[in-house]
Parts: sequence; structure tokens; C-alpha cells
Amino acid sequence: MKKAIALMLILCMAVSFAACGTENKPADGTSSASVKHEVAGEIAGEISISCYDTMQYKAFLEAAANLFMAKYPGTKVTIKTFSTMPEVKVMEKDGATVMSSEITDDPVARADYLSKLNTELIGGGGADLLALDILPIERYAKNGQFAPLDEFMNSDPDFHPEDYRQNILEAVKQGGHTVFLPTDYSFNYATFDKSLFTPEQAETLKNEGTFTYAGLISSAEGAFASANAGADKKIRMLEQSARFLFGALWDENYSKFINFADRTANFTDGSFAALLEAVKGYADKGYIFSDENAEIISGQQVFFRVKSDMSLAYDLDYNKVSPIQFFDGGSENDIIGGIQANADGNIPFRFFRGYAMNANSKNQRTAWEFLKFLLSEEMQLSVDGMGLPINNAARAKKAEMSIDGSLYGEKTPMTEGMQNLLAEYQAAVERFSDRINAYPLADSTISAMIREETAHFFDGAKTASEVCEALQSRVNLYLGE
Amino acid sequence: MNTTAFGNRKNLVSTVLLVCLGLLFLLPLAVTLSGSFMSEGEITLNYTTSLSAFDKLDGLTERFAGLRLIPSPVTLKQYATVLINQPAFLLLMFNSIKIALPVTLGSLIISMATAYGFTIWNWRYKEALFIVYIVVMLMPLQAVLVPNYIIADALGIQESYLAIILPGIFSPFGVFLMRQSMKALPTAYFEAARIDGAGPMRIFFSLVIPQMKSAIAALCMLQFIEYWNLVEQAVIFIKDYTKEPLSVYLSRIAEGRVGLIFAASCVFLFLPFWFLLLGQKDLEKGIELSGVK
Amino acid sequence: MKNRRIPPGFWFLLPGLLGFLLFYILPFGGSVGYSVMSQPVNGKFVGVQNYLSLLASPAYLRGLWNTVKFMGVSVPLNMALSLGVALLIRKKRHRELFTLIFLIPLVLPSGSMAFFWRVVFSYNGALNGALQGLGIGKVNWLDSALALPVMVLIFIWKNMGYNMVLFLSGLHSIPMEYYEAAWVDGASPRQALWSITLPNLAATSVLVCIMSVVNSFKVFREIYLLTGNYPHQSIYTLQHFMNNMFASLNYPKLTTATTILVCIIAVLTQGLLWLERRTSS
Repeated sequence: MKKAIALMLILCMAVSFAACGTENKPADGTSSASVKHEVAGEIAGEISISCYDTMQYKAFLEAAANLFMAKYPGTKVTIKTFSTMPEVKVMEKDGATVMSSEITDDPVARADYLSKLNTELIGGGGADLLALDILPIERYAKNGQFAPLDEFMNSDPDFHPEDYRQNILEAVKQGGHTVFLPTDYSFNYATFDKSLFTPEQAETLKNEGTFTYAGLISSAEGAFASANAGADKKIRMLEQSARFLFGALWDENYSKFINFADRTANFTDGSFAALLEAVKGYADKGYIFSDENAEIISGQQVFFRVKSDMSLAYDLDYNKVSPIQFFDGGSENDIIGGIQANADGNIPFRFFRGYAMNANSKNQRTAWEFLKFLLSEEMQLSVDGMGLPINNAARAKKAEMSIDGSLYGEKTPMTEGMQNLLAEYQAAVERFSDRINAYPLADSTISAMIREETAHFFDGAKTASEVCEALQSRVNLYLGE
Repeated sequence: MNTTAFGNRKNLVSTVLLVCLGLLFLLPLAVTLSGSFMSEGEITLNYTTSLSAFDKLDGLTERFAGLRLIPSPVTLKQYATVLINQPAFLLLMFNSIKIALPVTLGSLIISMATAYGFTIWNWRYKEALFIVYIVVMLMPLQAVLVPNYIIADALGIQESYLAIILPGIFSPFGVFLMRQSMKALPTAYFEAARIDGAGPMRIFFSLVIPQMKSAIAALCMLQFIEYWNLVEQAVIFIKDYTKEPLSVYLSRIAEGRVGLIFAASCVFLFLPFWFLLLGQKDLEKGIELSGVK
Repeated sequence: MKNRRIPPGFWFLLPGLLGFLLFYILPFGGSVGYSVMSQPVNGKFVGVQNYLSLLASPAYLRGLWNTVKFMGVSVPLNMALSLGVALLIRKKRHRELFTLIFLIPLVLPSGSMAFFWRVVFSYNGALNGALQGLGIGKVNWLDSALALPVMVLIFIWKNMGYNMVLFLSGLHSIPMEYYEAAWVDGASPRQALWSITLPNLAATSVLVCIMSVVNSFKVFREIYLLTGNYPHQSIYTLQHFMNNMFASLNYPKLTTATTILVCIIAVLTQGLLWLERRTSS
């Protein structure tokens, strides 16, 4: 009996997941009957694509696969996902029992996905395309597991690099070869609250230069002291926690501590400990939250906001908001203060979705075609696509569709104000995007070690020097492998 | 039996020593068992080491995890969550049985036969082959996983339980254990039976198997526990979470959902524990038997 | 033995042997092939270069040395302890109960055990809490040279029970007459232990030793769950190395390490079996 109930419930879950999948399908009004490509090799047969089951990837890929198969009859695209047992949560709500299921993303499940994938790859198999969701890209690229895509990009007459953000295509190259492709991108930019600064200070901050976290903090220290002079006034410098800020500072200063050429680490000369203590000091002074779980109340004033997404929010009435406000920040006092650069001056970007081709793939031609399909305007206009589309036409169109609402199925006629807004937005995005020049492939293993060990420091379990010692030995062990 | 040469005092000391050691060995089980009757809140309170806002108000600077053995209040909520709210839990347990049981039985049959073959057939490379068995047995799992996958792929069974079960059945461990135990059997038995005209089959069934009770119990117990607890192979070969064994699920909740781990562990270890109780009697019997001869 | 008939033992051996060849020997042979390639995919033949670079790799050597050290300490210690407990337990009235208690660690799932050990040994764990309470201060169990003793402890805790059962069974197979003869000769219990018990346990000891080595590889799972990919360098074993090579898709290095390990194991096994033959004859 219990087993029967169990089976029933699992069926229910499966159905509800399927329902989720269909809901997220993009509005399919744009697919036009396109001409079939005639390039070397045939687009036929089966390909598979593997992703760790973050629901969004899966739904997006399934929608793409269906469109692709309709476009190229004779092909079959399967999505291989990794799923863990969803946790059923029972809550009492208004006297009724509400059941919900959720998939938790835990490190063990991630490690399991990777070891499954690795076994397949080493065994000469694996999916034809690999979603880069949680892959340690740097290791796979180093071992030649990703097929070089340059050949396809250069020889395919239907692929035009100028249709995409070329500086990003350049930035992701590894040793002169393109081995993976992002389908979207985003970058960090800072805004500042001009009401918290004197007009002169605001004038120096108001530029579209570059910023670093370290720079932001030092430039606001004076203003912070005067603004928080009152007794109970507590305006934070940033809305993040100490741990987050440390992570950001680590990303900026990575190269000071790790020497990849010599494969040595340098955590014990005091500068790493100083960085840790500095961040703790910021928290003690009230610049940032010391508690990981503390949340800033939305709308509360902060000196700076660092934002990562310059795409357009969907719930704004673009007819009413003032032109630049929607991506400037929460309040109308917010002004853009620059794009984030690393300590070495390079301007990095991030992507949410990216793909690589498995070097073991037996059907690379079709896999490439599918990859290209994911980059196409049609797919890049998907409503659940995050970040900015890498496809130029799609980026422009998506901005327009966001503003007139057609992306969400409620088209309103464009007013002159909305037209201006669109133009202003597009110009700003392109201005910032043009400056991107790097994709620093962070070593995920070292990042994980840093996160783990520094957490002990911010918990108060270890002192800075203990953390440094532990990191020095662990990172050196890793680098020596 | 009790006419020991040891004095009474020595006896007492050794008993106290054993009891202390026994308590130490029981501690993890006791913690798991009592933890399974605690509420999720109590568990988090016991095992967290990060300071909460209240701790800071109290002026605490550090906080230690504690091993508490008495739940207050006693609650069955964890069991309810595990068994009723996570219906797949029972399904996964059934999956575990579907893997562990065939491996145990299969490897018992195969290793008995192989070990018997080793015992009665004297050929030139016998010992060399046996060394190969031992070497393979000693190889760590990391070394055999990928080869296993390649073979499973070639046989087309890489997404079914067979990919786990078949290598399990042929694992060298059983052959090693059985052969070592058969070595202890008196060869005179075989000779006598052969002279009486019994064929190797008859000797196997009527003489060898009854004598091997203890080894059979040991093998069944160890193989069952091994495959009940397996994680790595299942992770690699099983695609669908409804087909996963319980051990994989358990290894995941051990990381993130501390509030469930105790009850889940208790349910999980019930079956092997029962097996242990059953098998232990046979282990003891085997000891008596070989003691008599 | 010159008759043409296939001996019956062959038929008993055959099914098991075929499966063994198919699932273990054949794939292992194939994987050795990787150890002479530069990459798993589209690799070139590089001869013994992987072996040379491995033997020059500090991480590998550290792993190998730590493994040797761990086994060198834990296997004899485990054998001595389980023999000692077996000797203590064999004449006790509640022998069955004690055996059961010592066997329990065998059935506890490694995931929850790793959790238990973490609670005990982590920096703000229960043990340090107790030490702090006693005024001794905190000890960094898992992130210092003390990690090795902790690992040995976990290994012994998990595996002592079964070894003890093996020893008990070995002890019972020693004929009582031997002891009676010794008592008649006026031997002390200590002398009886050295001259009767231990020599007669030689075959059992080889079995226990091999089992301990097998299980010492298995303790990796707990250690891994407890301390992760890159633990303190004193417990970075060969399996950490192999696991990490697997994670970085460096299969040639992994198979090279495996091949070397197999050679070492083969030599060791030969030695052990030779010892067994010598003592039993």
C-alpha cells in the first residue's frame, strides 16, 4: 500500500515537473520557415547534450531541441540531465496541508554529476555537447576534452562572427582556440547614491571609468563617516556581507597569491591575512554586514550598489519610469559609477549559459549546428534567457521587446519616451560591453578552498594566520599535483 | 572452559577494559539512534558551530558541537519526514535491495564454485592465478571504476543495475575468502569420500557446503553490507533518481540536511543490522564447528 | 595426471574465471594502455614518460609515502588490537554480545559516520569542547599532523570487529590438546601464548593482514567525506591523488599511478603468501 502511494506521488511529481517545463517555453512566434543550410557534412542523426539539472537549463534546452528537430527533420536531440531526488516539504497552511517538492543543489550531487560525466568522457563517450553549468572549465580545456570550435567557425559560411559580440568571442579563447562558447554575458557595474556624497565627490565618481571593490571602499570612507555621524543612522557602504566582499576582493587580486607559472601559492607573507583582517574590519566598522544571512531591506540607502545585470526588468512600466533609472539602481539618486575591472586592469565578464563540444563526439557536424542554433536570434530571444544575448540582433530586439512588452506577450505601442529610453539603454549597454576584454578562467578548486577556509575565519572558528597556514598547505598540494 | 589460568583480578580488569572499549564502539550508534528521536531544531542547536545572534548577545566567542545522548523532547517527527513525506525513500530502499541481494547470492554461488575449483584442481599456474585474484582484490576502487564503465558500455548494460551487479558477482573478494576457508578443511574428508566413489559434485554439496557455514555467513554478510553501502558505482551507472539506491541519497543528505540524517541512517542500517544479527549466529557456529574437530 | 579428460575442477573454475577476466582483467589491461598515452582523447604514444613524470611529482610521492605510512601503522596496530581483544573475549561469558558490539561499525553508513567524526574532531567539535572545558585548549585535529592518528583511529574503529572474528575462529581451531600438554609440562600462560597460540595463528594472520589492506583502501571514503579533496598534507593518500587526477580528467596519470600500485601490491602479496607457506609447513 505504501509503495503504491509512493509511486503515485512520484508520478505526480513527474507530472508537475513536466508542467513546469512547458510553462517556461519561450513564446514561439518568431520561428520563421528558414532555408536549409548546405554545408559540408550532413545535419542528421542523434546528438545529446548533457547538463546538471538546474531546472532553467533543462527547460531551455528542451525547448531548443524541439525547435531544432522541427527545423531539421531526421535529427534527434536528447537532453541528458542529472537529477537528484526532490525533497518533499509539507507545510500547514490555512489549515490545509500543502506539499511542495524542491530539488536541492548540494555539493555532493554536483560532485556526483561530475564523476559520472568524467567516467563517460574518459571511457571515450559522453554527450556531444556539454553545458558548462558546473563544469570546471579550465581542467577540461587543458586536457583537450573540448573540441576546438574554430574550424567550424571559420569554415561554416553561415557563421558570421560579426553577428555576435566579437570582443567576447575573443576573450573566451584559450591558447588561441575557441573551445567553448557563451550564449549570453553580463558584467558588473557600480552605481552610487549621489545624495550621500558632496556634489564634488559625486562629480569625480560620476564617470564611466572602471572601479574595483577596494577603490569603492576607500573612496567613500570620508563620506561614510560624515553620513553615519548620527546615533542610530546606519547606512551601509555596500549591501553585501563580509564573505561576499571577501570573495569579490579575492577575484580582483587572485594573481597576487597564486603563481600558475611556477605552480606556487603565497598565502603566508601576511598580505592575505591583512586582506582577511581588512574585510573583518569593514564589517566591524559597519561598512558591510558581518552576518551572512543579514539582508538589506529593499529601498534602504547604501553608498554603492554593484549590479551584475544590465538587462531590463520586466515589471516596470517603461512609460512612466525616468529614462536611465531602470538600470541605474533602486532610487532616482543612483548614478552609474563605472564597470568593474580586476586589479590587473582587465575588464571581465560572466555568462550564465555556455556550451562546449565534446572531443569524443561522433556527430560534430550536427552538434555544431545545434550550438549555432542556440546562438541564433530565435533562441536568444527566449524569455528565460538570462544576461545579455551575445547575438547582436537578438540583444537589440530583446531590449525593444522588453520595453514594448511583447517579450511577455503584452505588447503596448511605443511612445516617444519609450523610444528615447530604448535608444539610451542600448547605447549604454553597447558602450560598456565594448570595453570587455577578458574572461579570467578562475580555478574552481582553489576558489572552493578559499571559500571553505575563509568561512572558518568569518565564523570566528579560526584566526587569520591559521587560515593562511591551512590554505598555503592545501593550495600548494593542489598545485603540485 | 572456565578453568583459566588467569586470576580473578585479571579477569575483572579485562572485563572492565572490554566494557570501556565496547562503549566506545557503541557511541556512534548511540548518537545516531538518540539523534533520530530529536527534533530538527534540537539537532541544529546541538551540532552547529557558528555563532548565532543570541550567542553574541550572551557574549560567547566560540561554540562547540555537542554529543547529546538524551533527546528532549522525544519526537518521531524525523521518522515521519523520512518515511511518509519522502515517499521515494521506501522506493530507494527497495532499489538497494535489488542491487545488494543479487550480488550477495550471485557472488556466493560463483565464489563457492570457483574456490572449489581452485581447491580440487591442481594445475601449474593455479597459485599464479590466485595471486592475480588477490592483486585485483587489493586494487582501490578508483582504479577499477573507469575500466568497469568501458566494459559495461561495450556490453550495452551501462544504464542498468547489471553494470553494478555483474562485476559484484565476479568480484575476487568472495573467491579469496572462500578459498582461504576451504584450505582449512581437512583433505582427508575429500579422500575418503572419493574412495567411497562420490563424484566432485556430491562432495561439493554434501561435504564442502555444510562445513563452510561460517565462511558462507561471513561472505553473505560482508558482500551485502558492501553493496548496501555502495555509492560510487551507483552514481556512475544510474541515471534516474527513482532508480538510485538509498545509499546515494543518504550520502547527499549527510551534507545538507542534517535534521534528517539520523532517522534516515537508522532506517538505512536496520536491514544490514538484522543481517548481522542473523549472520553472527552462524559465524559463532562456524567457530564451534572448527573448534570441535 | 596424464589423462585427456578435462578435470572436473576446471568446470567449477570456469564460470567464475570468465567473469573475472571479462570484468576485471580485460578492462584493466585496457586501462594500462592509457598510461603510455599523453591524453585520454587523441593522445600520442609517449612511452614511459608518464611514469617518469609521476615519479618526479611531489604530490604523487607524498601520496605514496603517506599511504605506506598509514598502512605501516594501521595494519599492524589493527592486527595487534584485534588479536588482543580476541584473546580477552574468547573465554568471556558474553562473548556473543561483545562480538556483536565490535561488529556494529561495519554496518553504519559511511555518510553518517563522516558526520559523526566531523562533530567529534572538527575545530569546534565535541572533543575540543571537552578539552577546552578541561582547560587544555583547542587542538586542530584534522588540519595538522594529528590527522594521521585520527585516520588510523577511524580505520581501527571500523575494521577491528571483523578481524577479531577471524582471529576468534583461528583461536578455536587450535586443538585443546596442545594447551593441555603445555600445562602438564608446567608452562605459564604467557609461554603458552608465545609457543602455541601465536605460531598456530600464522595462517589466520595472513588472511587478516590481506583483509586489513583491502579495508585500509576503503577507509578513504570516510576520510574523503570528512576532509575533502585536499586534506592536510599528512593524510593526502594515493587515493586522493588518484581521485583528483580523475576529477581533472588526467586519466594517463591515474592509470600510471594504478599500474605502479598494482606492481607494488603484487610484490607484497607474493611476500605474504610466501610467508604463509613457510609458516604453515
